[in-house]
Amino acid sequence: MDAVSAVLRQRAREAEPLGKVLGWSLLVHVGLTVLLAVVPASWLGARLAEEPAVVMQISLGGAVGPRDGGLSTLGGRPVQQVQPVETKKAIEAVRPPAAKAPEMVERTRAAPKKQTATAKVEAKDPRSRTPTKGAEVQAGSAVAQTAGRGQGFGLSAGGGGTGGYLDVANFCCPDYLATMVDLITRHWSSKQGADGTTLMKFVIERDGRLTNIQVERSSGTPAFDYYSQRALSLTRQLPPLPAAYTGERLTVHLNFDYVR
Amino acid sequence: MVGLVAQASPISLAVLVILLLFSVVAWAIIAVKLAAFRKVDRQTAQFIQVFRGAAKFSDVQSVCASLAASPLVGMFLAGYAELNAQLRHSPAAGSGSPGTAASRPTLKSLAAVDRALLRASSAEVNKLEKRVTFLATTASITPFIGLFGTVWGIMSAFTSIGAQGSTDLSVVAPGIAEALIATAAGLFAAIPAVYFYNHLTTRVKVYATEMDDFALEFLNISERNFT
Repeated sequence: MDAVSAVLRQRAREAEPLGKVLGWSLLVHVGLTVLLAVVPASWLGARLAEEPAVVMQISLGGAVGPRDGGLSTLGGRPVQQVQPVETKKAIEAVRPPAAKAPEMVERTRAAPKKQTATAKVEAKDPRSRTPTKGAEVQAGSAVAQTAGRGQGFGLSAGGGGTGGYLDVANFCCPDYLATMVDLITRHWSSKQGADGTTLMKFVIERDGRLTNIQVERSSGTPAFDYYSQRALSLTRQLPPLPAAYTGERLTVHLNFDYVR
Repeated sequence: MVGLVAQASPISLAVLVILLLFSVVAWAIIAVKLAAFRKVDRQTAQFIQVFRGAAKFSDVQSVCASLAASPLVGMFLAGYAELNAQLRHSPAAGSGSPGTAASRPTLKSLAAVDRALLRASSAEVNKLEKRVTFLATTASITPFIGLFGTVWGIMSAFTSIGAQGSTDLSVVAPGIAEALIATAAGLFAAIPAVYFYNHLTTRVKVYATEMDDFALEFLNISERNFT
């Protein structure tokens, strides 16, 4: 064997050992896997199924509308108003004035019309009602300015709702919500010497406990937020959720309106 | 996460274990190679400095043992061995007294030195590239292994859905989520392998050009001094 081959063979024999590093690599991989298993699922981007996603919002006081601007949820009642009478006007085509007959010619008289038999039959029909037309009072849908003001929340039939909404698509039982509002307002008064609205969010558990009470949108006045929170905390216990509602819990968003 | 893996079928588990092994070996190779290449960089720079500063090849040879990681050392040793072999058998070295211009040793064949350098060069490139090919294998195979695990998992998920007779999301989703872990693991193994395979092969190419450069330099010096 020549000298060059000997050198090459000698060089080829020196290689980096892999064994020790392999052990370290295995250790790191196992560590990472364990870490991945231990880490809470929310860190990896999974959403915990704590609250149902908002599918649809149901307002407690009518449809969620613009701010009421003086119309209150309780004050906005349907009033009666006069319905304008519908009159039909026939549209006439524009025609040239009829030619006047000359004076000398004797006027022809139209023969009197004979009354038809059908008209008499109609008059005699005892079942027909006499058609009425004219000024008549009917229920309208306009909202009147009553200068009244609701409590800020509540169940009302009309007006721009500013009450609150639920996180479920179809909540079965409005009675339950009425009870809820009633119980909460026992610990609360809207007259606080300043204007403002706090949107609170809380969860009603199956057994009626109020949990997870939090300020969703602050009024800007910490005292109001605290007062709203206090009202919910004092309420603490509602009747259990109605059996017709199958969800485990009910998330409610409720406005607390404060007035001077 | 724990629950997903714990209820996986044996095939899915096997796929995950295989992928883990691939990843372990690939990362070990990456670590070893990066460390080795860093050493190569450092020692090559030192060797070049010594080589250009030295007056005699024998001076250079004395530092070779301490700079063994550099591929240029291998080439130098091979070229020097060939030079020695030729000079030992040349008539000038045998008869005349050394030191005089007339008795200066001469090379029989410069081409033989060139060939020796070429042999050393390819051997050194082989040595540098050793185990890097495993990274290429990992990069191309592991996504497929992961995909296999996923397909198998989805198959069994649908079988169990059929058995339960329900298409409720809570029945369908866990099986598919469990199946998708295999694809994720495959990609997890493959992506670093692709990156470091490209990185390491590019560096080997750079070393190869450095070695070519060194071969030409060595030949020049040999030609100047021994012909």
